[in-house]
Parts: sequence; structure tokens; C-alpha cells
Amino acid sequence: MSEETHRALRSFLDLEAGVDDDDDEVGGGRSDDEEFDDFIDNDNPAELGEASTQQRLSWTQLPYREDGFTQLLTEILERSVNSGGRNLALREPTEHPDDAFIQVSMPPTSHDFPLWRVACRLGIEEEAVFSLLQLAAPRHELRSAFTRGSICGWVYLETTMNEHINRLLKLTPGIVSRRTGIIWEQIDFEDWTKMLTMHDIEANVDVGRWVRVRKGTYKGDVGYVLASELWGVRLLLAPRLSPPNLASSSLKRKRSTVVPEPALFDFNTIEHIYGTPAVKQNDRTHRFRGNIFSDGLLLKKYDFHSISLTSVFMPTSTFFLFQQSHHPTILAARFPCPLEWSFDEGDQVLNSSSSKLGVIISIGAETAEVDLAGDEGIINVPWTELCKHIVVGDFVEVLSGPLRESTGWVERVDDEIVHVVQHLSSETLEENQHYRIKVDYMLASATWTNFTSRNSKFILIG
Amino acid sequence: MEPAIAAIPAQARSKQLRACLLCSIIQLPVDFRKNGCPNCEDVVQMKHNPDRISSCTTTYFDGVISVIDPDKSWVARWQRTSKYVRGMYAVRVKGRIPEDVEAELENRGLKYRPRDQTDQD
Repeated sequence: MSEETHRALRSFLDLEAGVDDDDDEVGGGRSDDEEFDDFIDNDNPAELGEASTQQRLSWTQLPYREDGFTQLLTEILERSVNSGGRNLALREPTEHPDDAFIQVSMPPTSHDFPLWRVACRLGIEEEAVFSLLQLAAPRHELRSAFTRGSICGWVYLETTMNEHINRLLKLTPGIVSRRTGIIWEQIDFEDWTKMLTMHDIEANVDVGRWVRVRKGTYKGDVGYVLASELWGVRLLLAPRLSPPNLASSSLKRKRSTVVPEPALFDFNTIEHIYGTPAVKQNDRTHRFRGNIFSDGLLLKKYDFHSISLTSVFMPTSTFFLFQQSHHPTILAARFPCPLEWSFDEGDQVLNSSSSKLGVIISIGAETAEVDLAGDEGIINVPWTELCKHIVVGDFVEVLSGPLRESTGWVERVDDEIVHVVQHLSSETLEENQHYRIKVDYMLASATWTNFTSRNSKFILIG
Repeated sequence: MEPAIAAIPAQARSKQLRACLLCSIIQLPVDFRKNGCPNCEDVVQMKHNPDRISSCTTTYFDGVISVIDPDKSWVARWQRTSKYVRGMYAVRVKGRIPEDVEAELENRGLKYRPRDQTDQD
């Protein structure tokens, strides 16, 4: 493969086909987007197989000038005539043209070519379909090809899927080609017409919104909408990389039931852990095993069917991961209130940006209304700038996390860490435990003088 | 008479692509202007007529179909394009043809059927 062609091909290598288990479609489908982790070998273009010896066509390389378009079309038609067997030219005008306007939808029959769906890189589906119109010949036994537009990552072919069309697909821009070949599935007959039934979807997802992933490895995870396109969104997610022993296992796909824990991507240590370096790209992102990482977060594409705008709950662990990434967009973003945090109207809070105390008036999705002391009145404060006001001597109860329902007195407060002397028994305090709890997990119920058992002693440890 | 040919757009994702409201074929405006609609020209008369192109085509369409063998394709039969030329078609087109075009069809004893999937057989 020439260097120029290789560069052109690599423009597709950073894209990842999304997962599509839409209810309208049946068949096995790809329910785990990890399936594409190793579908491209960036290190060994030669292993692309037959496709590596032939030049793929790219629509981006085609000239688009009005004066050149006619020449281009003429060349295409000449090639089709000279290649023999192709029939780009179409029909003669019908003797009764009005017949065309009274066509009735006719359902498919068992004699028709079957319908297949073929994996395609996100955002390239239409290019693939256009290319097939240009290149299809009678030997390919391809009668039509289509993309639904709303569901990305697949193109649909009306074909016998013979060897000729298989070879053509390997040359078609956008079609996913693994070492084992093209990824395709046959659609059940009773579902054929459903593939051509369009549904209106929520396609207005604003940049800066938090959404929930509905499918694949990141199902249930909350992601930040970095960009919204016609076909879907680009999300920032907390990465879930498979452990090194699973990542380096044989290519034979085995479904893993254990989803890796989220952790930030560290360019400096990844090679030590996985034995493979990440590639730094010009836009300061890193590419590793077919994924793109930006400031430690995963940048991933999803079509609109694969995300949800409702039930967006962010665990505290995810909240802190995003904060620790120091991604410039994330640092400036507003966050939903983490799942385990417990704030109520009337809670005394500290606005960390201004170091001012206030009382919560109302709870919002991404902010809280806080009545600040003094003349500042009521302001909206993002959750990232709020914490509970806990002082030494407060009797507190842990509301979530591993120490949930533990109670005790606050012995010391260090920024967001509260040191608590745990009360184990109402009879004695001799076996108290000392532990630290993040301040926002706690409910400050009262000072120690309001503790229920007046016979207990309060002993400070350490 | 030369056979009708559907122009193949050079760029799949050109924002200028438009779909005919009557037959759903997809072309660039320049193709509609030069050649008209390869399926409906005697009714819509878009050739060299930008106003007709604007009123009889739209950018609001979903899904793209390459109809390669319209005679034999069940997809083309289902989409009511099996008697049209080979080319690119939209799965769904939002909008209606102008009233005068609809009237012309009625004059010919034909009923207009929108291609927005609200009128299914």
C-alpha cells in the first residue's frame, strides 16, 4: 500500500463503529463495543489482507468542483462501459410514464435477495452506500444498499453475499474489515420492512449536557457531550480499559461478564501496564487500541439511539474521576449532583469558590440556590463548588458509602475530609474507632451536647 | 432519445443534497438545474428553474438508498421506486409537493402520495 493511500486509509482508522441493539432490529448484533478494540491493526497495515494491496476509494479524495463534476461523471460512465457487464446507464423513459406515479408498496417475497447488515464506521455510512452505487456490477448480485441515517454503524445490503460482493465490500470506504473479514449479519425476513421504517428520535442533544449510555461496555455510564453531530454525539467518558491479561488474550472473542472499573487513562504508564505504547496525536489526544483519549478521558462516538437524556445519575467516584482529569472542558462544566450526595433545603453549606456560608433554598439538577449570609442574597451555586458546613463537635451520621449509618462526633475537619470519632455503643466509648469521611456524605444532626445518651462520655483520640 | 441517467453526487455528505418530494431521488441542485428530475421532470419541470427546484425538492430527508437494480429490488418495490431510474433515493422525505404539481397529478387521474411514511400501504 502506498504511503498516500495508507494516510488516506488512516483517516478512517480513528473511528469506531457504535453499538446498535435497537429494539427495531433483531439478530445477534453487536452489544459489546469492545468487539472493535482489535479490529484495526495500526501497527501492521499489511495485515489488512487483500484490501491492503488495492486502493480504497475515498469520497474525500473526489474532486468537488462544478466544472469538474461533469468530467468526473463522464469518466465513471466510461469506466463502467469499458469494464463490461456493468449497467450504469438506466432505463429508457417508459412509454407510459404515469405508471411510475401509481406504484404501490409491495412487500418482499421469499424469492427476493436477502437483507444483510454490514458494520460500518460511524459517520461514513452514506459514503459507503454511495460508493457501492458506483462500483456495483451484476456479478456482485447487489440490488440495493441503504443506511437508515438515525442508526449509525451499519449499512444494509440487498444481496446474496457472494464472494464478489465480499471482495467489493473490503474496498468500500467505511466498511469495517477485521482480520477475520467483514462483519455482517442476515436480517430475519419478518424484519426486513422494519429496516425501512423511520422513527423520529431526539436529535437535539446540546453540547455540555450529561447523558447516559444505553449500550455496550459503558452501558449505564454517564458521559459529557463534547460535540453533537447529525448522526450522534461525541462523549467524554471515564475509561474502562480491560486488564492487561484480558487485553492481550487471543483474538478469539469471548464475552466478558466483568466490566472493568473506570480509571483515568495515563499516557505515561500505559506502556508499562499493557506493553503497547499509546500514540500521541497532533490535537494532544492519545490513541490506544483503537480508542481516543483526551486528558485521561475516553472520547467516544454514539448515535442518538445509544444514549439517554433521562435517568442521568452520576456516582461520586465518576464525579471525582472527571474532576481529576483536568480536562479543560470538564473543569468548566457543570455537573449533576452526585448520586450519593445528600443535600436538603435548609442545609448549611459552604461555597468553596467564595468561602462564604449559606443555606440551601432549593435543589436543582446542576446547581443549588443558596442564600448567602450578608447582602449577597440568593445565588445559584454549581455542585462542584458546594460542600456541607461541618464543624468540630458536630454529631454526624454517614448517609452513603461503605460507612453508611455510622455515627460519631467530628474531631477535626481538613478541607473536605472530616475526621470522626465513631460511637459504637451508647454505654461506653472505650472502643471507639477513628476514621475519615468525605464531608458531603454526612448529615450533621447536632452538636455532641444533643447526643441521646447523656451518660456517655466524649473522649478525643489522638 | 438518450436514456435517462441519474447523476451520482460527488460527495455523500454534501449539505446541498436535495431529495425530490415526488419520487425521493437525491441529487445536487446543480443536477436538478441541468437535467431536471430523471423520474418526474414532465410533472415538476425543474430543469433550468431554481424556483421549482426549491419548491419541489427538500433537504429534509432521512436515510439514503442506493437503488442499483430497481427492476428486481424488493427495497425499491417497497419504497415505490422500482419503476424509477437507478440512483440515490431517500428512505423518507419530509414535506409535500406544491399544489399545482398535485393538481397536475390529479388531472392525470393520479393521487399524490407523500413520501414521509404517513401514507403506507
